[in-house]
Amino acid sequence: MRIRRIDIENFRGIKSASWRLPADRRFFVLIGPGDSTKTTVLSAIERALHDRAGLNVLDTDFHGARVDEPIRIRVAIDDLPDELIAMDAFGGFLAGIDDKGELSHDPTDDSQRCVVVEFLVEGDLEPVWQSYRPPVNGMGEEEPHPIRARHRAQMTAYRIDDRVDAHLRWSRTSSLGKLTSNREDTRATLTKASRAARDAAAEAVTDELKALAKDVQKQVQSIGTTDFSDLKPGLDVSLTNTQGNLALFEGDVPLTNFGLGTRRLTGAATQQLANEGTTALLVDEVEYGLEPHRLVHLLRHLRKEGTFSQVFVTTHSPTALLHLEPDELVMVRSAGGVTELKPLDHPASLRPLLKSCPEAFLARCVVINEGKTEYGVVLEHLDDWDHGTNPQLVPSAALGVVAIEGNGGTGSAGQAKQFRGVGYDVVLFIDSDDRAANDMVREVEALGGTVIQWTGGHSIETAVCAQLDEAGLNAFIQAGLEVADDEAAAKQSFADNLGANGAPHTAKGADPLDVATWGAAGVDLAKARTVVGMTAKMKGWFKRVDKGRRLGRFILDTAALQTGDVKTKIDDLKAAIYARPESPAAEEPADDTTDACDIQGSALDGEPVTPPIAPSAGRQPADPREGPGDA
Amino acid sequence: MPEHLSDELKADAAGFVSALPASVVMPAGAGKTHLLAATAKHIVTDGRTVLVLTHTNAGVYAISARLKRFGVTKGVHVSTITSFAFRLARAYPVLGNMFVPKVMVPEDSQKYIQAAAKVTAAAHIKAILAASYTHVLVDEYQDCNEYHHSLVLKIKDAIPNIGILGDPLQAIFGFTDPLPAWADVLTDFPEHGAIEVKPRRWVGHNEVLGEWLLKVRDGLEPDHELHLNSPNYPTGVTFTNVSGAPNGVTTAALRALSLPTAETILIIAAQAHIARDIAGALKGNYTVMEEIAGKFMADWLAKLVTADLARYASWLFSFTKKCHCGHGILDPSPLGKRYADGRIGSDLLTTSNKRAGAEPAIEALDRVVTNPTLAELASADSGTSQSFAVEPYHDYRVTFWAKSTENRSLVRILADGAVVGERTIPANSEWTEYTVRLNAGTRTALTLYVGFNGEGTYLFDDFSVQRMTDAPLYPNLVNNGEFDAKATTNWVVGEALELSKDDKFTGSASTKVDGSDSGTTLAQTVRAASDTAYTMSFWVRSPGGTISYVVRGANGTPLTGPHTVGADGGWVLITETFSSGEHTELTVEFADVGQGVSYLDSVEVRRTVDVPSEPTNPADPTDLVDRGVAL
Repeated sequence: MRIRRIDIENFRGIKSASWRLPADRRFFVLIGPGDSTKTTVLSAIERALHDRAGLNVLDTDFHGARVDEPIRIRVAIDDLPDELIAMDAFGGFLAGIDDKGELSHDPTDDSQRCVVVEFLVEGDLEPVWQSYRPPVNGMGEEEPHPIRARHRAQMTAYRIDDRVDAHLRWSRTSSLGKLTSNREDTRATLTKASRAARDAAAEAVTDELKALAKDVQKQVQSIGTTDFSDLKPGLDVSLTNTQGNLALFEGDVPLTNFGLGTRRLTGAATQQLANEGTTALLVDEVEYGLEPHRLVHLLRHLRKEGTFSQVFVTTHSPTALLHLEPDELVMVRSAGGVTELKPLDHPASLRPLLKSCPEAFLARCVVINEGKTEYGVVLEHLDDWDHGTNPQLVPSAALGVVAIEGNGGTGSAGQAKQFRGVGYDVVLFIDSDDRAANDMVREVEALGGTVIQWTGGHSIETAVCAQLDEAGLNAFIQAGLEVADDEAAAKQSFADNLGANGAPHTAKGADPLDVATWGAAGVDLAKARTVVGMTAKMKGWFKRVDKGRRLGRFILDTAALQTGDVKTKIDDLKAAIYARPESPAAEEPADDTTDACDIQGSALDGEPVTPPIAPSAGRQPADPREGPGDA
Repeated sequence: MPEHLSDELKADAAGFVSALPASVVMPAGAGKTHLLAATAKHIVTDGRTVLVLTHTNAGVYAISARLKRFGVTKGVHVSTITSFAFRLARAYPVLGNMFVPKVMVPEDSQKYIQAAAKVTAAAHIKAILAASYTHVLVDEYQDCNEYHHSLVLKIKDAIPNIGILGDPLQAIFGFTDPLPAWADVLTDFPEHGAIEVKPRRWVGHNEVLGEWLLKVRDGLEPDHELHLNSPNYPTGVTFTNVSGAPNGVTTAALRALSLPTAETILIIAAQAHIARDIAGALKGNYTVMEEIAGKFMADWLAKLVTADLARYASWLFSFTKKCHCGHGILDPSPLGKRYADGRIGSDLLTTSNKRAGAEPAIEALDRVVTNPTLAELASADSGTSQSFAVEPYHDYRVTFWAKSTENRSLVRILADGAVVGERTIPANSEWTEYTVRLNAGTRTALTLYVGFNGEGTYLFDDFSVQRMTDAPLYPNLVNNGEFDAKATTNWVVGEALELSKDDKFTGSASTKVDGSDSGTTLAQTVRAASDTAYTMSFWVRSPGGTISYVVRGANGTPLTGPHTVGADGGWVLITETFSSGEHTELTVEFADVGQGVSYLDSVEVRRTVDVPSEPTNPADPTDLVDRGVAL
């Protein structure tokens, strides 16, 4: 079973969202800044595939707590087992889904058969699970069919969260309980064990359960939890109710007393055993409670085929990202209540960046700098703006800004396009002296990215030098020498290189390292600016992050640079970096649904705008079999 | 206990299953349904699933009933070919290239079959069918036209294990649609000849006729002759040629009634109107079986289609009177006239209580008057009722479980339109068991009516009607025989009597007859049937006094007694059985003939149970109705 598409309306922070999942992937890492509704997406999946009859829904589960618009979550699942496509299950209302995630009323030869589970809650807060199929032109409304809990239970999504403790006990609904019922006769075994446990707490657990605990131990170890040596069932006296007194113990310590990470991993392990590769696993903040090495081990385990049919994790951890592949990432962005979930267009090209700077993927705003020089300059400026004499109210880190070192002109522009394409705010700080790069820069701008580029064919070095007088140029050269690895040797090479680029020779009585002497030798200030700037750029005087920082400091400290194009562009950069994301409240219009469409239909994908969820077919009356009478 | 299957039948079933795809040809009465059910049982006993298709709902019912007898409850789906096709075609309109309405249109059956064949040709649907059923059995295959046959062949692509049963000689459809050549059918379903054909329907019952019927079958085959004038009829078979005689059939039918046998007589007519004519000529001696085409319903719904909105309530009123039992209190005038005039009728409820019990119906009709929509009409007709047969004068207990949301609901037991018992299900109530206990009185049928009071969800379960008494309990003709009302209520008393609350036998009081006021009499006259046995009984305690008692006829003739009873310290039951003779009024009379005090309680006069009821009139035609059936 495989989730192929998720459509969400009016659920918590999501006014609308439509996510089409590629058929060939089973491991999805949802990343995005805070409040980008990643967790809400997991909750939506969990609710739509909830495996029991009832579910408590609150007013606050509605988008903006407005209960007049129903919560509607549709999950399309293909690759269904025979049992579920039979006529007495979903056989009478299967839909089709094509490679692009487009749904059709009937499954055709060009599509996969799938069931679309619609979770619908109206103002009465009574959840309904029913089928959905897109309408066929001219046919009128499709009549929804109830999707029963016993069928949902076969495609359920299990979520690892703080309530994981329940799964470390033997109860009717816990994964340990299910596991037991799969292998043994639950009631007999559990009753026997519980009764025995009551009689003589430690000694009386049945052999069946002990054996099962050993299985769990093995599985837990393979998933990278603590190295348990004596995992066994025991009586947990901390609970007063009759169910679930029997819990997993390590030696004499109940597992529920272990750290959160261990408990989460153990929960995942038992769940995996209980469901044997058929269930979607949802892990919110996969890194939570885990040391880096256990996190890495867990990720490796979850990515293995045959564990869960699909795994959805969210993460804020650079460590996690460092061990993931770019094509596993799904960028989640929320604007105006519309959540977009997008993979990278050319993930392979961002792999080096993911390995070198995973933080960028966790940012809201990525400042992509053409090279090491620009990167250093920007880092130095960020330090000054965040922590200098006149600091910004909200530091850049708090705004989710991460500066990264780009990959040259076209490379950086390409990265900027991709980041922008999946929803990041992008600031591209790039020279204007590369024609190929300039063309891509226009595309970045067209996508809504901010590009900071020197006016007229400049690099940062030439742009700076263009505003310096002789003394300033000398200071610039001095700054370059300061950060050179070997200052003495550098003096010689700087002099040689300047000379080669047009600085007057010593023979003419000039000192190549002292621009003040150049005029007498026939090199005027305009030419001197070009010579110094070009030489600095070509010879990479500042082409290392720490050297770039020195250049940044130079820009900050040089009066002549507090004006002109340098000042303009540095101010632009600052403005772009500290631009506050719009507050969510301002983004959500009180009563306007067209807004959602406008944003969704922006130039981002160029596709025609259709609301992700078609107008409602009426809701199905509650299935009496799922009513409280069934309890 | 499920019916035991003979080893022969089991072997036949197993042989048939292993020969699939195959066909079995069986004449009428040879046990075709038996074999089909046994085959289905064989399949599901192996843990597999079978789809059983036939042509008529009557066939579905017959097969389902046989399966139930054989203890088959799971793994079998029995359906008409048309409704199975309808279901497939409706589920997949794109594949079938047909928009199928929610409700089946009988005239379109053929289109459904053709659409279903297209649907079934799709790979996804084949997968669905294969996942749903391992085997298919098609009954009455002789009635499959070419469209049915090609649908079955499409199903065979998905489910190769198809068995067909039929008898080409019994084809009753196919007069208009072309039938596939039986020889062609046999190429897809080779004849399974291993089952011996025996006249099983006649086993232990007119076996000679059964043998003969099998034999004459040969004469019906193409190119054979059947000679009805043959002298070689077995015992019990006669041939009378009535052609040309105007009343030939009726004469023969009436003569048959006089035969000294308890057999059922069946008259088969070619057309419904001929059957009705014959039945009419037989003056009710035969029962006419209902037409199967549903003409009544079609006619009434056709009226509705053309009806003006203002006529909806009137239509519903007439329709209700026509087709539901227990609406006798809905009077044609003035109530019916109200609806005919487009006015509401509920105000009549306030002027008279003769329509007590009809309030929900009248309120629902009124809602249709004020809001004449089809939706309202459907909801008004949503009160649901069911009649059940009862034996007169027996006590019955009706129990059911119910819960409701929002509005209250009403469950009523009606007899001849009058409410004899009711329970109200309060709004927002949890599952509760309700009991209504009542005596059937003179009635032979009661109607259980569940009325819904507006929107809301009502759940009912486990309706059951239990007879609580082994023998009928005829009503007590005496009023206030318990003396729980004033002693003088309903009684004619010579002297003042006093109620004795301390010395009572049942209820709250007895009456105290004080011997000091000698000459005290106590009498009550009740209506009774003539020539009927009655039992008079009462409890008496006479610590010192003496009481005489007598039952008199209309003219004072003693029918029993007078007798005396007295001078006994404890409560004594006195019973007297007597026949009413020619009298239709009975007077029960007590007189104080002693000096002390006596107490009387529980005076009853009831029809006697164990005396045979009235002698039956041999000429009574009702006695014969059950013997004749006209088709």
